[in-house]
Amino acid sequence: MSTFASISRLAIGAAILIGVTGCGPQEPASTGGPATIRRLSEAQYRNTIADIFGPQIVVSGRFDSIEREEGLLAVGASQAAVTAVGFERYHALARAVAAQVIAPVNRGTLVPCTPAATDGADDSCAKIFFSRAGRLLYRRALRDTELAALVGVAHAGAESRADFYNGLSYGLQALLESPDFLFMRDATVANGSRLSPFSKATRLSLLLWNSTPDDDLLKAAEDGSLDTKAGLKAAVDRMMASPHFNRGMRAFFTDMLTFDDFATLEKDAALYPAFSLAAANDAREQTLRTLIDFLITQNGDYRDLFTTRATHITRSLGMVYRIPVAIPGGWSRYEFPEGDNHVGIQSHLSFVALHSHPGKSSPTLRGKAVREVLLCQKVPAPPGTVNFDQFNDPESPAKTARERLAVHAVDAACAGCHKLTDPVGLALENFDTAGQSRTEENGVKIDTRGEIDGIPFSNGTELGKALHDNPATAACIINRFASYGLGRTVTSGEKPWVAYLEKTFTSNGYRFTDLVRRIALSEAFYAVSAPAKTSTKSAGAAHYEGKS
Amino acid sequence: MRGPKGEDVCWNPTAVNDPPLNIVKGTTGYGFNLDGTTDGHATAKSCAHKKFTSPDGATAVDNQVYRILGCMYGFRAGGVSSGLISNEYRRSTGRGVMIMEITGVTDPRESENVEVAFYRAIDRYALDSAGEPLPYASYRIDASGTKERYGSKAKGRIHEGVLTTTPAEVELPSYGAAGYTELHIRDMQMTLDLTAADGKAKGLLGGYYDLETWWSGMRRSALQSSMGDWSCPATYVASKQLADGYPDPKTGECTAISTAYRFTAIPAFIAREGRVARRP
Repeated sequence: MSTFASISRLAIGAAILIGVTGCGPQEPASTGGPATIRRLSEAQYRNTIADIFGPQIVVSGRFDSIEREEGLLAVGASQAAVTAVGFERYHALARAVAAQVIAPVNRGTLVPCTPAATDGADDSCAKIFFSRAGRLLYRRALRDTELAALVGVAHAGAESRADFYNGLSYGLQALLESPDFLFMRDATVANGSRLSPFSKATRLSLLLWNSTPDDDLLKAAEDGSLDTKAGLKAAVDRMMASPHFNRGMRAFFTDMLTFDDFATLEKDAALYPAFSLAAANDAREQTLRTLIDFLITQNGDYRDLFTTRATHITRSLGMVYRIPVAIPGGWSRYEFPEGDNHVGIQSHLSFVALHSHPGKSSPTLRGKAVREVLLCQKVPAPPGTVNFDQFNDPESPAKTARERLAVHAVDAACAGCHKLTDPVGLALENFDTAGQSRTEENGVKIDTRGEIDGIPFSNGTELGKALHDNPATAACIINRFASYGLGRTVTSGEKPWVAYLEKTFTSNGYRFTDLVRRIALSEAFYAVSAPAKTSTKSAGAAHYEGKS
Repeated sequence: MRGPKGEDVCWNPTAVNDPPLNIVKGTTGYGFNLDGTTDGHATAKSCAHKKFTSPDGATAVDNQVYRILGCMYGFRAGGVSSGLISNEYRRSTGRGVMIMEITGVTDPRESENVEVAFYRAIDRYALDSAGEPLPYASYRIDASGTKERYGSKAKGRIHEGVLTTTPAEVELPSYGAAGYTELHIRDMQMTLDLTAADGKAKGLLGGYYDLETWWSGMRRSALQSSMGDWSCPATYVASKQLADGYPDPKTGECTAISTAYRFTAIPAFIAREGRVARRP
């Protein structure tokens, strides 16, 4: 019976996909992967509060960090817990948010009813408020028992403080501190083979908006339309047309490109005075703007990101790149001229500076980043016995990074990994650690020749072409984006789906928006495998619908 | 406000008679030989005055403004004027940022026919963490509609990496003493060493500063005057006595005063709307 149902679903799905994206390969069956429990990231927390209560609610506080796993914080979020200190922070945040929501200036718009009296409890008004806020915060309708408990908290608080809104804030705090808000649990249906409509809405919303489902999406989950191809397509179309879509895509690339590392990025101010805080902030924004403009607005070929000369700059960046900026007061489009070695996002300040040392460039870190971040390849960690004495010897006659790195070539413990990283990173040696172009290091002409996966190149521009043509480049963005949406790595049972995504990505000209849409509309994206009998790294999830 | 009728004596410098100003008696000072004489005797375009020898060895140079201001602590290097009111204000407010656009450069070390144009920027200095202006920032030119303000030009040449201009009458933007002013300078000459490895070019600009314009800027320095650093009336009298350029044909009194400024220029981009900015 379940096999028949599955086949029927696939057949209908294929028919609608043809209508959406034209002729092409059909989505293969997928076994899915394990259900997960993901902790809300800081950005998701902030987006959620802003989306539900408005941008005027200030979320001021610190969050427990999330460890990057398999190249993504989004995957690490599925393995993140809350420490005691972290919970105290959530508690403080909840108090602060709740206080702002019920503040006189906001209550008129954020509390959808007027209490009979403000100096005491009003259970019916509290129930209306918690039904609405709780549904959005828990990403599902509250159960009767949950709602009754919140109304009870608000009642007791209002009575003891002789203030209806004060009571309301206690209940709201409880919602904001609840695991049902702070963690996103994959609830399943159909014998645990696919996500429940509410979890489906949550997964979709995190993928496209990096936030909680809005009222319309929850309605689609409630009325069942989200489980239909047409309903899902309508939801995806609406969400991709929303301004929140760019925010969601920026969140993905921020994660993929490890831009969280900007928080600790420093350069020696005496050596690189142009690398200011403004330049660092703008560097991050430069790449995100380039990505969004190129991939979303212009619907460009993803691979061309590594060969494009077009970007966006500010005055601060202009000083680093030593280029004129047309509008010193803000952002402007810029195209590096032919012959300039700023080609592709791998030449952006956000890449060459982020993957360097504070006082000098690092072909090793840059090469490692190209392999791990852009190509999803693994570079083993350095051995514990590595000896940097010779490499860092101030008396060394070596003038360039290439000469300094040569010491690793003769050390067997180092050579294996440095063969992977250095020939790639040396192509970017025309940029110092602060991203400024240079042709010499210590008076010696810089040699930027190298190779990647058997393809030789003579400079960074040719490295960009090699990345453009490398099959791993397209495969990486697919793998990363799928993992980002799933909150876990792709399972072996999902490989046929990934292969299908690769095939369609190629046939559709490597259009990122097409990839996003295809993943969001995939059956496989919402498929869940049977709970594993042995423990896995990903946390198991509750199998409940969340209905009353 | 110490005039007999409560006048501000910087704006009414003849309202009181102050003791004479202490002026520079030394013989060393920066500048250019503007009148062409070796001893400063009066000529058709100059009044009699004393000459200086420049620290770099140039002889018979003129700088009567230095003769007036050189003994006032606030106007000396590190004093309140150069250290705070003028240079620091320019850095912190972005006002009075002067742009020099050098065109016609075929070779940065040897170019026979170059032209230098002067403008005022409307963008602030971009500063590093030490508060020093950063090179390679982009600046827009102050303009009225499509007409760029200032825009005085001087011809020149670059020899061995040093730019030297021929005398020209220019109107240059300036900001100091918490107010905008103009440098209306006749017979302006400039040298600019473009050979520094860090791109910072050190230069000297001098000429005959229109006396009325000069005093217009000086009298706004009432803050320093009120601190007792200098006397407006005495300075005004001294400027009349020491002015050495462009004598009035009727009265014979000189209407301009020789001056010189040492400056450091940093490479920058000029951002013109609708046009590709020039590389420095």
